[in-house]
Amino acid sequence: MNSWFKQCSYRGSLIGIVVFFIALSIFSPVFLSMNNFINIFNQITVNVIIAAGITLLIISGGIDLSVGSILALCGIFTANYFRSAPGGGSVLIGILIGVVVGLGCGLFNGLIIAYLHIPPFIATLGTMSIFRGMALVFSGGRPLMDLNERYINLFTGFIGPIPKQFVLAIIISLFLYFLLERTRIGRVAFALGGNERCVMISGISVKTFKLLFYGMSGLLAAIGGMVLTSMIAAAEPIAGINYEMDAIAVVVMGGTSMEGGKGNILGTIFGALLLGIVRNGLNLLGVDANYQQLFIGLIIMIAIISGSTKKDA
Amino acid sequence: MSDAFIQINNLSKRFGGIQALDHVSLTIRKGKVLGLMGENGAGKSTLMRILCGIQTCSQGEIIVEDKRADINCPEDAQDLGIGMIPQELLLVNCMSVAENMFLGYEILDRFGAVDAKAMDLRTQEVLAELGCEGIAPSDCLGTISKANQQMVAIGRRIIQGGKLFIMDEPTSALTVHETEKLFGVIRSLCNKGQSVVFISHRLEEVLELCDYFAILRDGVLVDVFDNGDGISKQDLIKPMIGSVLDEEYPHEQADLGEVILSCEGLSYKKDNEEIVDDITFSLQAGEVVGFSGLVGMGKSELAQTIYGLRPMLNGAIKVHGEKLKGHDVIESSKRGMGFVSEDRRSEGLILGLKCLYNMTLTCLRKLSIGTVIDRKKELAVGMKYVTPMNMKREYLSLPANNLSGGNQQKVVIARQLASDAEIIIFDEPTKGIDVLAKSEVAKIINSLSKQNKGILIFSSEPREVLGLCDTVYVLNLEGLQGPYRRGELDYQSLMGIQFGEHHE
Amino acid sequence: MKKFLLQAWKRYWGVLLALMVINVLFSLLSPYYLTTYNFLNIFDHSAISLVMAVGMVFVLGTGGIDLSIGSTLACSGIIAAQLFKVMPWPLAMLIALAFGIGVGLLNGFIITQFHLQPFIVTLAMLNIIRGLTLVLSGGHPVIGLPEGFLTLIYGKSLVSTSIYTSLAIAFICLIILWKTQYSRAVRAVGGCEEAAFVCGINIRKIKISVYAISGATAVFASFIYMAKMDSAEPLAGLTTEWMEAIAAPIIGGNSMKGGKCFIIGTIIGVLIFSCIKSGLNMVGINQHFQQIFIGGLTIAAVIVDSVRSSR
Repeated sequence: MNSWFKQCSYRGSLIGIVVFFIALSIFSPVFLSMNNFINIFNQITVNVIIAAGITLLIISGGIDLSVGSILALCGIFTANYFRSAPGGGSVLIGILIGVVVGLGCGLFNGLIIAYLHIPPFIATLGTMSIFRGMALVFSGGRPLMDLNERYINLFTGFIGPIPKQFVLAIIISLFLYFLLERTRIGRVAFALGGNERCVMISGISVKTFKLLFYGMSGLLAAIGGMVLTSMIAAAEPIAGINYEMDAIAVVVMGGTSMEGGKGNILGTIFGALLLGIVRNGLNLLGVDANYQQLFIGLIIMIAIISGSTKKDA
Repeated sequence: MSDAFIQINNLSKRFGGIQALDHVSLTIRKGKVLGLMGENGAGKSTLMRILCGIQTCSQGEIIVEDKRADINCPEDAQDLGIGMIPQELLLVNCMSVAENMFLGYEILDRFGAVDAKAMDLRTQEVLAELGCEGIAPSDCLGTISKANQQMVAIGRRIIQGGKLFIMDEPTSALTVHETEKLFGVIRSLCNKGQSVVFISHRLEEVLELCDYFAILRDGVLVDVFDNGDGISKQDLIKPMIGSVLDEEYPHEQADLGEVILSCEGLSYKKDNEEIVDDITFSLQAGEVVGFSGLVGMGKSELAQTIYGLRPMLNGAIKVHGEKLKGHDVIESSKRGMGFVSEDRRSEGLILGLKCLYNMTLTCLRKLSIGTVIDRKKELAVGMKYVTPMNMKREYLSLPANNLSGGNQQKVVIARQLASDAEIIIFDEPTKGIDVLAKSEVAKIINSLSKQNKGILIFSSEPREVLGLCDTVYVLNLEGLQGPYRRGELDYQSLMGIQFGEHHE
Repeated sequence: MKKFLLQAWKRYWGVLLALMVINVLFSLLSPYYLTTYNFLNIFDHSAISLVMAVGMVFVLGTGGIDLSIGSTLACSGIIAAQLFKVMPWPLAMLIALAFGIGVGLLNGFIITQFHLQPFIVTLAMLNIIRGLTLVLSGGHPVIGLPEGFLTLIYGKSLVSTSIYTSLAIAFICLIILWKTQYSRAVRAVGGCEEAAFVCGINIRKIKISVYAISGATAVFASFIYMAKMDSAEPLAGLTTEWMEAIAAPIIGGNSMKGGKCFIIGTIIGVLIFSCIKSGLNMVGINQHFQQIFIGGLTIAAVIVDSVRSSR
């Protein structure tokens, strides 16, 4: 047990969670309540979903900065469908539309990165702008409301003490965990992040797998978009701004290295929990919201630095 | 004695377990060209890099112009006038000729700004000294010929105030005419009192140009002698190769089957842009075919071309008589080819991944139900190869990075076996591996041929080629020589062919 | 002189042609495009992106990238604006400049010390500085800037001096490029790091200093922005200017792989962006399309760059 802990890449997050949990229980009267925990779960749901996809990408040596924009775009498409379909349309079709849009965006990312050999960060920086612009155009720049009733209520309710949407986020994460640890696809992801050239020489179609991974990231961003628009009962063209940073934050906090080839979805979940608890705590303690971004930004930088294995040579 | 520029005394260098240089004492004379000779790995580069400050020595001293020198970084060496022109030239392609020549040593005017006019002028002078017509100081380096780029590199050394010019394989990309020009430049440098160290495998050139020779073998300075009328190629080859050891590579003959790979009229481009063509050979099941040749002859590039890593300019590759459809790695591995790279660490392995996972990288499909990997089956595959290859079981769960070079190579070979490759291409199979592991790898290759696989070996190690291969080809300046059957060649004759001698 | 013009033409004819085509296209599409007022407007709007873009040229020259400039712009603006209230404005400007340079040095240090990729370090820094901006400003803009400052940067007449300010900075960068050993060292580090090493160039110093330059130009851009708005916005630079500062140099011939430093091409690149933005406005195309367009142009520029450098 002891040696597992020493090796565990996300022990930082675990320690952090314990520390903050104890500290906040002492310093805030409201922290230790079921209501508050439910609050935290709701807050981090979308983050967990997106971060799962980002974890997969970073492990395979890529990155996707456009997830926030994809999230918004999918929400807009779904909302437009609900608003224009007679009787509000079918929930299933609405979700399908959003998911397909997200998949399409992800595949577009994958295409230009895998086939045109553009560095992932600049490619997704560009598509971040493109998809955001599209979201603004297709929504006329305003939030879209009046969505399908059943859709809005899709994720309300609980399974046991836990909100339905968070359960969904956990299921998605566990599915990706299984994918990474137990399947061929996951194995190739680790290999790609470790040494892309070696994978190529071994006769594996690197392009196909990259398409797959970026497609999945887009798909997960879409699911996140579906959950978000359902939660707030509106599709906002400016939704998801900065979500990519939060996703990267929890991924590195969870012990996944930016170098690629290593990582763990469980770590990401704990990283997200830690970030959620910290944010929640800062709120409860009345810390100015403005300080939160600075604080979290510093945590990200520290996590990135400590994740690098090549210290000064 | 007074014509000594640099005196090297008892220089030794140890890399981990390997003694790269062993008490080397050498005098570098002013105004003369030294031909530094030795096989690959003999220690030539190491010696020069220590002189240039790129590496430090374990012990020994360097005396420059009768003063003891402390060379710890390139700048120290530059201050003493010592510098190297490496084979890759190390010029900046997107900068101009003048900018390259003056890099780091720019002429400044009285305001501290760069004086482009003065530099242009001086560049013209130097280019004229070097006999370079047709290139202007403002030409972009990437657009001029390799020969002219070489002149720019030499010009850079002149401007840096070079007193010693170390040239590593300078003629590999030059035509006969350009080589003559280079020799003229070198001679005029010597006339001015500069010293030159000339490292090259081209014996004719070395015999023509050099004033004296120093021969290194396995890190030891074996001989130093002046050039003269009586000196022949054999006088250079003999000390380089020393005594011949035969039993490093035991061989057992396997039965040969049908032809599984044939290449006809293959042509490809080497790294230095030269084209090699008309490569024709065939490989039978159970046969081990070896390609030998000096560094720079294009062996690795040929291996890569056959496997599909490098474009094929002309010709055809047939597996089991059928031409390959596309020419890429995916097609080649589908048709049963496997590739063991020269560079294990950057191309052959995923260092952070478990050895087991490295082994099963290409055969995962067989081991999975749908996309889910059957871990038991996977472990069984790993265990299957551990014993025959003399590896410890624990290695399977260690990251590949933790293993020694020899064991790492075994992992890469195991991967080929696990994916049932029929044709396995080895690029420098025992490079950087200790002696014990070398023989283990040799045994493995033997057993592969017994299993009816076809093996292609590309190696700069002549003993390896002679010991392991049923058929030997040599890539030399005149093209592909061979095939030579097992027993036809011995060490001396193989080396001779490599250097361009004709075998009857 | 003639030789220089010839060389410039050979190098830039592509982007100059593109610029011309764009202008011709929009003059045909809108009667208001080909007016002095519009062109003055274009140059005015280009000023901010131009200043950041020429700083980015040096970072690109070493093969790096700086994503944090947008937030440095905002933060240094807030710092300057707040300091204006308590000290003479030239001093406040200097302190803000020191801040920008400091951020750049920190970026460079972290990148070189821990061997991390520039994009992730500057991305993380972007976040930190954004947070810092919010803390220092409380989320509110700071208004009321001193006259002297406004006049210096922006001028009082119809023709804002921001154009001259930005061109002055571009000119300074051009002088650095032409006349210093430094710029050659930058290009060598990006072009062939080993060659720079054997020639005695301090690779680490070069890599850190270029981020200081991009930090400094972000501050200058911030001054122009503030003078234009007569206030400091905490959300400034968060829209498209900082992406333009990356895409314009690439259009102008600079390569993401490093080794090239083209200032004039960068100026043309910035103009291309501004002309298209203005043209789209004139034709009545939605603001939002501009975002799509800038993203698309960035990707297109990188594609062209990767094709160019593989040839």
